[in-house]
Amino acid sequence: MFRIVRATITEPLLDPDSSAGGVVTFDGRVRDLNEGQAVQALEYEALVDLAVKEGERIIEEALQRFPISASACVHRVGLLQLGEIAIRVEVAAAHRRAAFDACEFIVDEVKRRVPIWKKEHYTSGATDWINAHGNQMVTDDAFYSRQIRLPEVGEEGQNRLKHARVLVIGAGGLGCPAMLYLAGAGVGHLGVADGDQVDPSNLHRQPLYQASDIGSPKTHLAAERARSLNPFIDVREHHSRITARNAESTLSEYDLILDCTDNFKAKFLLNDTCVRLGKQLISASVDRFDGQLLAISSEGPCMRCLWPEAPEDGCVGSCEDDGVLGYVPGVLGALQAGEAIKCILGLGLYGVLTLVDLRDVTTSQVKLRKNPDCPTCGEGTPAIRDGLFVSDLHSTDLIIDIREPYETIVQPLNRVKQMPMSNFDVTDKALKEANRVILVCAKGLRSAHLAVHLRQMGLTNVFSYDGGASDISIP
Amino acid sequence: MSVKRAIHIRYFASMREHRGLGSETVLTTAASPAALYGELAEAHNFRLPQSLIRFALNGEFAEASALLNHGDELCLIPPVAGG
Repeated sequence: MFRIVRATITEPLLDPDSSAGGVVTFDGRVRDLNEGQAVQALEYEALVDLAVKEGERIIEEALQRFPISASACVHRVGLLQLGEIAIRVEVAAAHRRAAFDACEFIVDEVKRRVPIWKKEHYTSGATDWINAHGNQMVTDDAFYSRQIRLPEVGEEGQNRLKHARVLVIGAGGLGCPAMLYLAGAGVGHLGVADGDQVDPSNLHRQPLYQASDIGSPKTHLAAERARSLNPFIDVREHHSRITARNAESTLSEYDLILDCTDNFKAKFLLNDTCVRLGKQLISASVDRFDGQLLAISSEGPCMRCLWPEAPEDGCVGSCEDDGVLGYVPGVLGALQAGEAIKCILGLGLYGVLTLVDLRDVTTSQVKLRKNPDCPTCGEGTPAIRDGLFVSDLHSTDLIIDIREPYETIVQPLNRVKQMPMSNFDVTDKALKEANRVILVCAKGLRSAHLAVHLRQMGLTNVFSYDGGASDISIP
Repeated sequence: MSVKRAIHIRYFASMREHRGLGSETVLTTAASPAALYGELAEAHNFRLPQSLIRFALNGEFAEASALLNHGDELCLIPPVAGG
């Protein structure tokens, strides 16, 4: 018997008969010190289904390997205080030696194989996730070791992923694989938004869920699964359908959005909101054996350069009407996660529509052309862009570096105000008070875009530095 | 009488379902993607209006009124929404 429990462990696990000459009980307890740091409490988290399966397997192995009559193990999850029992192992055998040996075997194997993590709360206020019992510590180095080895990732890329803020909208056929690969890659701030509950018809293509989840909200299940997979990331749940009313406030906390929705209305809403807020968008859709994939940067080209007006929902098929095999959105959702990771690493492929045909297993790519009259990413009214770019700076200018922390760490700009675009406060009083506000980013694209946005909001004293942070000299 | 051109057509997503084929080569007098789509829609009862179809001509998005040349490859790309 192997169980994961929340409640305090008090009772014995076995009730051995008189053939048992010895019963060995081991209690693993919360200790006040780990690697020199004073510990205040521990939080255990388990991938419960997997943990129970693996735990049962270990118990079974112990029964076969040692001459014992019974064995059991219970592990707690949740918040534990100092001195509380985290794990109890009990073994009954005719002779004590076998009972001791089997007990040690079970404890060692549980430590080694069962997916349980602990978060240590130090008295210093700091916290740290490590693998249960410290025997084999899961450090983030070990977790990401295979991908850090890639020259395209490396330590710097992993750091970028850690600071990335990605929102998956739609936790369905596309969103499920996308969530898993983004969580696995170590996207440090991962959000999931969906208003639906798990329906029986979802399960064949949405492998985050199981039959016992039917009726439960998808966002919570998806978030929990991502947290269990990777204890080093922060996962947020937005249990609501994205609408025009909440899109801007929900998206504003993120830098990159995955459109895993299943209707044109939502797709075009996300397209427009992302361009307006300066977010990157990775959109995908499926129809039977076909898929389409498109990455959009806030400068465009965007979805409306191709389809200026959103097609009516229902004009082409849906998974509900036409049917779909589970792996089709699976492939496209995995590709979305991959494109998102590449965008974060600076390898993004924007403005190219990728057509995936899984009947023939072929892909085709068509480059989008930016439509200057695009209602979403077009040039806008000329007056707004007048004199937008400046290259001469004065000592009275308020210069703002809008790059993200992972960029400014690598290439800092001194004596300028830092306000990352992802966290830009348009109500900051300094913006209005300054004679001129000059925005600087890496290449001058984002700064131009944000300057247009701020001018549209009435801040006509905003300009974009014509160039990037690498060729600026601060007066 | 107009000259007939051979155009290699590739159908995607619901277009492929409607046509029942992934690709075909047609001989046509149609001079533009719009005209060719009109011919095909009539022959095969396509229900999507031409305004919803995007045309990629030899790997580049093209206007519906672009000029078709003998030997061109034309992709018919409908919008896709499922997820």
